[in-house]
Amino acid sequence: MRRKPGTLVPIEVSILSAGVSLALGGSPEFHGYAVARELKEREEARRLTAHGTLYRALGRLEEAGLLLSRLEDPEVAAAEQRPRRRLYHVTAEGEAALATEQARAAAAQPQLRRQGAAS
Amino acid sequence: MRAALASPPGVVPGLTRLWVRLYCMGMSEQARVVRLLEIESDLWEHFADRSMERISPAAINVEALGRMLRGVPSDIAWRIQAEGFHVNIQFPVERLAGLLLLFLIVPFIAGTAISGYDTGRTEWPGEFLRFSEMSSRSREGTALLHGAIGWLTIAGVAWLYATMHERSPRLIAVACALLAAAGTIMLVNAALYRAMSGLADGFTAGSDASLVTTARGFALSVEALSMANASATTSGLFCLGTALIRLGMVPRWTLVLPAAGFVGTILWTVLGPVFGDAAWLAITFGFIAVALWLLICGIWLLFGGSKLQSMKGLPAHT
Repeated sequence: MRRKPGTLVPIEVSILSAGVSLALGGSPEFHGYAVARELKEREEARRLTAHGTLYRALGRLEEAGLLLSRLEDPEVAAAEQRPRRRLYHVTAEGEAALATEQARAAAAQPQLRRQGAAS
Repeated sequence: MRAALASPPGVVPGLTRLWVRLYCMGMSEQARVVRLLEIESDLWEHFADRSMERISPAAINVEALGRMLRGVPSDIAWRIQAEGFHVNIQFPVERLAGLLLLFLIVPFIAGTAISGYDTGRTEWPGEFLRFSEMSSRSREGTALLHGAIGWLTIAGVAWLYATMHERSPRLIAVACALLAAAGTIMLVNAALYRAMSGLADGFTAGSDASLVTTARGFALSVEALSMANASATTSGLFCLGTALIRLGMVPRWTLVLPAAGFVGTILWTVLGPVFGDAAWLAITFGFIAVALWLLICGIWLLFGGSKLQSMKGLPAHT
């Protein structure tokens, strides 16, 4: 999908939104699968987001400075007997970008309704 | 409660890991390892999470397969965007050394088993006649095979020296010198065998009796050189085995095998003229031990060591 400069594609908006939601729920840091699960639940999707789609989008968001990531302390993972997680958190820029996108979407909604009514 | 599982087993997780390794091939170590780690973690979380919901393993596998397959176009796009089409394949030294050891099984067996005749037979003329009756193509093929193996051994040993001599200078240098000598002997043997094959063709054409004596000289030379080859190979592999243990690349107990091979060859060389057939037992035992060592250590180096363990050294921030 081609994007307009300075805008986010839907999956990126969804990820940021899920990240903010997880943070509000008490998990300021989240891993990839947690986002996939959150997206499935929030959007009532039938399937979990594909690996490639999810991690590519996470990578783009990190590159844009909207997310930051770190690898989890190996001792924590070892104590829980699971692989190390890559933990992400939404930056202030990420929150601002999400707010902008949501405002843009909200503004576009009545316009779309008007266009629909006119046609 | 979460399942205490380090890594979800099964065909789909294996397939996913394979796919990740494939599309990450040639990327920088950091990017590759982080991606592998991230997908490994995702698979684990996915299986643990869905298991808690009492979803059957088969259904989770189908779901995981779908996630992998649907993400393929994005994976490819990500790979191209990340580092372009550039592929800089860097196999770890351990893996290549493992491949080399597995390859060395071939010259080790072939170098000591020049086929087609037996100089120990009392009736050499009859044996040479039998050798002559072998198809010319078969004899040429054997010579060519030995020559190729000789060159490949020398090339492999040269790589080994270039890659590892800085880690254990003396032992690697001695090991490589002995193995290179074995490779060279194989080349000489291939040339002698080819010459003997030419004599066999001449004998078939004209039945010149003098050719039989000359051929026996060649055959005995090949046999003596095969002994020298066995000695050089087993000593070289013993040095290499010691070096690999010192470098912590293979377990300590594996040294028993090349040591047995080395002792077997020495016993064969020293006791052979006196004890004859009994000495063959020593060399046979030694050969089996060395072949076993090449196989075990080759597989150990090629597949051993967890990639995830090496990830422990990664920095916390990416």
